[in-house]
Amino acid sequence: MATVPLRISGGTRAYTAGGRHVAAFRDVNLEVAHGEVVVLIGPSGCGKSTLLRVMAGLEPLSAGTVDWAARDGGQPSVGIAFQQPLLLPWLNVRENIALGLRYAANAAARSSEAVDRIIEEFGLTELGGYYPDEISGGQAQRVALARTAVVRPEVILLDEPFGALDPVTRASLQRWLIGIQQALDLTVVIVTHDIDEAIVLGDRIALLTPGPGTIQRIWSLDRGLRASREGIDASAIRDEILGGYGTTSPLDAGAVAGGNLRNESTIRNTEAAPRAAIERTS
Amino acid sequence: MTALATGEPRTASDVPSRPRELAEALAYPALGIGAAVFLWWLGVELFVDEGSFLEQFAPAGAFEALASLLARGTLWPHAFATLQRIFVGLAAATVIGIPLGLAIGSSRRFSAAVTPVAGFIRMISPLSWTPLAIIWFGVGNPPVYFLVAIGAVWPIVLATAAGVAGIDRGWLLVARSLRASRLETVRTIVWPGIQGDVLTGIRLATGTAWIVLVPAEMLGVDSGLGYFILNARDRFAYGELVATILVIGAIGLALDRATSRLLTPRRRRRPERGPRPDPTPIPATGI
Repeated sequence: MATVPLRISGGTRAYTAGGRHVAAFRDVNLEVAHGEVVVLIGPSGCGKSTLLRVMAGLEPLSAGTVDWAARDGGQPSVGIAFQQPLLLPWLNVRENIALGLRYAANAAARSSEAVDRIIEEFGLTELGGYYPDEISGGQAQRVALARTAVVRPEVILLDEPFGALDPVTRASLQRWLIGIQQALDLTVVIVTHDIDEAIVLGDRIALLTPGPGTIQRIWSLDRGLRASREGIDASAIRDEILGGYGTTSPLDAGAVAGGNLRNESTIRNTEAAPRAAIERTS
Repeated sequence: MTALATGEPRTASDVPSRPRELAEALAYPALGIGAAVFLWWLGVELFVDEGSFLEQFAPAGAFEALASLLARGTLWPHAFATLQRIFVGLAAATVIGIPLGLAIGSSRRFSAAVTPVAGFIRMISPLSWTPLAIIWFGVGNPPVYFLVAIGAVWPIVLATAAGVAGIDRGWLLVARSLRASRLETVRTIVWPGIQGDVLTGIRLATGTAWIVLVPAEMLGVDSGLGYFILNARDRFAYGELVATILVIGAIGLALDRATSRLLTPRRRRRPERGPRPDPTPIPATGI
């Protein structure tokens, strides 16, 4: 049975703004299985970035629970990277990547080869001595991801990681991320508002309703197909997700995309998908 | 049209040479100094009657006195005493100013509580404290240290607080996401992030301290450049008085340049670093 490194149950996040009670998201239930890529997608203001920060332990829940698998007795083993790389300009690439290892909470991940290994795994060997203002936006984002991964979190959360990049760099980095996620068997949750990016990256795609967001539907993509994506009719998937943007009623989980896409949940679906690949209908 | 614009290859004469750059860098300041000395001479020539004692304030007399003071070594002990006082006063201002600035920049409540009082004290001329300083600390160096410190502390406090307030919130979020403790965040994010501001504050404080120091040395001490000015006045040695003013200006300028140069954070270069790789992302794994 696959481990569940991250589980959020009945999660609601509300706050007071300008004297008004505002919910960012409500009653969210989601499990992230080991080694899968879950994409959270939804319109602006649906609370998906807030949900990611809650998953990262950066914000509390107003109601519900979030459980992290803890490797070392209690501390949530979750790393997060943001839309902007947020590299420290006074540190070079290598030092930026090693930042997390300077903190006592990550002592378990500290080793003499930890940084060398991640630099090699992330294809950053030649950049180690450069400073953030000397590298490109795409390279900076890879460095930021390496900084998140160097402490070896159970789950990596990415908040629109490629949103600020040009389309060519973005596509290149998406392919790179898939490769590295598979090579290192990473568990990843990604927030994006880009449907194509969700289709390229996700094992499962969770669509949130407009704010306050709740998970409206979860689609599972064929795991085996993700590497190539050649068998997927992306336009059909895109149309269905777009349909989800515009309606609150459950969509027909018909045989779109030649059966590569399966509707797993309706509104407020609470169950995570099993890791098995979804059978084709054709 | 330049060679670059026309696409012609650059010739050796187009390439700026180091001696040429150096000559240009020195030429303009030398021109400015020469012009200032000329205006100084002209002012004395035009406005001072022949035979007046004010003629001693002319450049010729001042430079002659300066050469004599330097040759006899008279000024060095005074300059040393002055520098020692400025370093002690600045050190005290830094030790007090940085933590205070960190606290003001980090805590809105602390800032709200402290800012009115700090602003009030800041607007009091440091020399106003002289009588109290002498009552509190007696005569000698301690009241001078106090006057320098109370004048120099505010630029450091304000620059540090502004630096903390200006820290990229995203960096703090990164530290939190990497599970840094509060102290670790200050050590690895806040302190390096505000160093430029703190150093600017120290540079401004150096200027303030220098301005406060010389008049402070005119009270209750028997050494230092400020003391030497009064001493020269009492001896009617106006050439030496002007020469000391020149030395004060020169040391102040040198201190400003030195703090600017020494305190500018330098980026460490890695000698093994090769040419910058192509910016196109390189997939780490084949897919």
